[in-house]
Amino acid sequence: MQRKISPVAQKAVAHYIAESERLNQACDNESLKQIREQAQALLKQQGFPTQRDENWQYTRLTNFVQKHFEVKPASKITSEQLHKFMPDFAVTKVVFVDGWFNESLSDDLAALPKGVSFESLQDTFDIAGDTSALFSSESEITKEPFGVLNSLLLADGFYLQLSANAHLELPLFVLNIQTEGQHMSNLRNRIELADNAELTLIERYVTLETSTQDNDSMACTNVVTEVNLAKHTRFKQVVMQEQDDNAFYFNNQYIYQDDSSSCMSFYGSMGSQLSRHQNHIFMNGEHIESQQNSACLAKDKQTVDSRTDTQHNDVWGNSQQLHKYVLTDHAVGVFNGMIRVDQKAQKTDGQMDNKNLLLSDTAKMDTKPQLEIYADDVKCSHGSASGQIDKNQIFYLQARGIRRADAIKMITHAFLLEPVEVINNAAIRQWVTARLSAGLASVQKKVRE
Amino acid sequence: MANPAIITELQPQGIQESGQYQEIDDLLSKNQHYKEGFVTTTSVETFDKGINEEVVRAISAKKNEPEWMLDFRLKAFAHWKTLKEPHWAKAEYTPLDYQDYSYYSAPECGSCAGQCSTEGGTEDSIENEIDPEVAKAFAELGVPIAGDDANVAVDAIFDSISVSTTKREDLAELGIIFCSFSEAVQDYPEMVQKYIGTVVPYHDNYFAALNSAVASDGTFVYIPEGVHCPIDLSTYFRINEAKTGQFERTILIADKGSYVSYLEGCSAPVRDTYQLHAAVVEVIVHEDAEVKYSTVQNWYPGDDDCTGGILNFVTKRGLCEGKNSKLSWTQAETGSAITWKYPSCILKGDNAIGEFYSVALTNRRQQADTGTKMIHIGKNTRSTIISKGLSAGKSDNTYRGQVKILPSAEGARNFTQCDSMLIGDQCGAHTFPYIEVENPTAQIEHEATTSRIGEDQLFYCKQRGISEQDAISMIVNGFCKEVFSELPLEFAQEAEELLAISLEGSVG
Repeated sequence: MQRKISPVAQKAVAHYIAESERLNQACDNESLKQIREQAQALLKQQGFPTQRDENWQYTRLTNFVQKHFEVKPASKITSEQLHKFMPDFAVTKVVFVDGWFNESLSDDLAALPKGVSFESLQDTFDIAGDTSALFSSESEITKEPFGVLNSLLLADGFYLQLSANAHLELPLFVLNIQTEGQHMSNLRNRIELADNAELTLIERYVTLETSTQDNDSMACTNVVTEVNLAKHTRFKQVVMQEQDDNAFYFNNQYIYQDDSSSCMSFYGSMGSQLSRHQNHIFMNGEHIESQQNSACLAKDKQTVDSRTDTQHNDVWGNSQQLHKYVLTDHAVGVFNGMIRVDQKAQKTDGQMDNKNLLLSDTAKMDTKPQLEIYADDVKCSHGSASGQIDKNQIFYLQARGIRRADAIKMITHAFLLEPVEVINNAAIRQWVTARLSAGLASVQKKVRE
Repeated sequence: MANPAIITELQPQGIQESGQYQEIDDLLSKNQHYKEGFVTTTSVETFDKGINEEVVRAISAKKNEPEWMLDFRLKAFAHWKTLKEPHWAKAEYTPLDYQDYSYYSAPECGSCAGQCSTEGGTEDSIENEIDPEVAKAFAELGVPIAGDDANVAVDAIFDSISVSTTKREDLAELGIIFCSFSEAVQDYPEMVQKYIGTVVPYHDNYFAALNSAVASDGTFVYIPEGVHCPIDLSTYFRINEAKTGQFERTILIADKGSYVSYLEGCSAPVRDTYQLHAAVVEVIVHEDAEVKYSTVQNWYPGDDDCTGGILNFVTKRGLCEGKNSKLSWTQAETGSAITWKYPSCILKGDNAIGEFYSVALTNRRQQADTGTKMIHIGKNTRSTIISKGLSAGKSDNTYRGQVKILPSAEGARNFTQCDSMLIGDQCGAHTFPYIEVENPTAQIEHEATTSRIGEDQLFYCKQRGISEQDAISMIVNGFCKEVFSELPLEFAQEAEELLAISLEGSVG
């Protein structure tokens, strides 16, 4: 179906297709070329979504379409510059600069335990002949407009494999740094866990130097991550999005789960003018556990969008979600959650909660928690609540001698940090708590001023 | 912040569930139990199939309409032609061939050849003119068109025209206008002109445009200032002819400080093709006024193989214009092959209240996509949504609702509860709420649960000597109680019976 595409969007489409063709000319991996060409055709046909599209009704791409981000080579940075982005606990560090893997800044990956293999996707493309196996879920990915864009500019990312029973002692810390303005960091990651493997992954998205309101410094990150979890695997993931307030952030995660696997994914969002984080979870086995939590904080004119699509496809699945938003100034929060229960998926237990705190008169929250259920013996519910801080709660604290400003701070903190509690590694939990608290403090300082 | 999550606990149950449904399936495959499915044979005047400007003009001419009404129709028709049939609802059907429907059909009554309603005669003369076959049909349906029921005034609509409106004189003494839409166009043109299209403009959506173009008949109600309408007003819709569409337009105006309870019922004969029903209802509620709008929808739902049935594509909307106004929609939806209906409230006046109570039951291959919209504009506006969905057989039941709080709606409150119950493992229950909040002082709560009848609940009842069917029926009625208690007494009874009949075989 040919869609009507506005002239502005058409320019953007032409730009990205030219970028893609440029990448293809310098490339001699046939299957990769093919993937890009497929995506070119799709983008030409679809253009970019507008507000008329059901899934983009609340998330405006107007600003994004006006910018033409380029895929530039990575700039050089030193390990000192990285220091401030590192957590205070021991991790295995992997660094991507502007979407390109940086081997010298990363820890020695040859020293990873037996059964764990980490390669940059670029290397994989260069070495391996036929890489078509890497694109097993391409048809699913290209259903998303930013999945199409990701395939179009596909160049680097990581390919992580854990063989059966493999286990990483330290959390894997993937640091993604934006250094260049007008740049598109395009990442495609693939994670495969064989039976009974276990992985803790932390992803952090930052900008090297926080810029002023300068347009040239604006950058974009577009990530697609595929996670394949075999039987009895345990996967824990923390994603912290702290790019500068001019940036754009798009992330589509596709998580395929097999029997008795467990997945915990936490998303913390503070940066970017427009961020959109989407989880697509396919629970294709029995007795699967899946937990998705998010804590989102937005100020000024930020738009923060977090989406989940959880597909229960087999019996005895358990999915839990808690999403919390704190919005101030002119911020816009968007939540969209879907729990789909297949006819086969009896005994499903699905719970989705979304709670939102609006701290200013001009903040806006759009939420759409959805259920689509085709099985009868299930326990599914969703709840959503939006509002300001309950006056009684403030009064209660004030009555105990706590000043009003502190009372508001305490309540807001407690509100936003609830989803963090699912992280059971104490060091990681404290680190995430500290990050979010710092974000909250800067917002509240502004509110008080 | 309120805690919105409530979970209906379900006990894990045994393995022999196929056995449990066997009985239900067996019964489902039996008869339809649609007792309203008879056909009335009478001499009728039906327009040829098809729609074009000539047809629109002809309908207007048939009704002796003034120039402005024809203009309204033509404008709507011109706009309709530019639109595409929407298919976003969670219902599957092949696009309709609009040329395959007739857009006007009326029983001919010897003396005045179908014009009796437009002539606006007195009640007696109308009664005399009613086609005996039509009168028989309504008698069979239990609709008191002769005005012999003391508690209710009825406007009976048969295909495209209103055949009788009872108790008009009693009501007129109070200043209440209760007549068919066509009569209102003749008798109160300035009033119709003032209000038509103000709540649902002709360009609102595809079916509203179609309705505006070919609007057949409907009811017009005006309650003057400070009048508490002593009896329930009611309209009964009957589609009789095959391959016709019914496009009624209802306008209800409640002036300052007035109160009215309005009821709506409907049915259609069993036909093997889809029939189209695209109504528009506009309700205007002024300061301190209250309107209770109840619907028991029992259109023919089609048979087991998904042939036939009514496509019920309705636009219902109320505007709470004045301060402290209140509009309450209550609906019991048991019929129609496809229902697509979102009775909405625009809460414009300060302290206005909007309510929506709904029970939607789908069985066999019915598809229902229904819900509401609550648009909060005024300060301290409140809305409550209670929606109970029951799916059985191979049906799909969807709740789709929007709650929108605009920046001006200081202190708005909304509470939404959508509960779904699945009866059998072939059906689906879906919830798609849209919540948009632009004012931080608003408090919005939404909760939804999906469950089925618990094994332990059934066991408990059976243990006390209640048969399984009765037990299921009891549990289902309990599930819907919150909504039924909002319906006027007779209607609540009717709705309960309907529920039992519609579920007959599957539960009770």
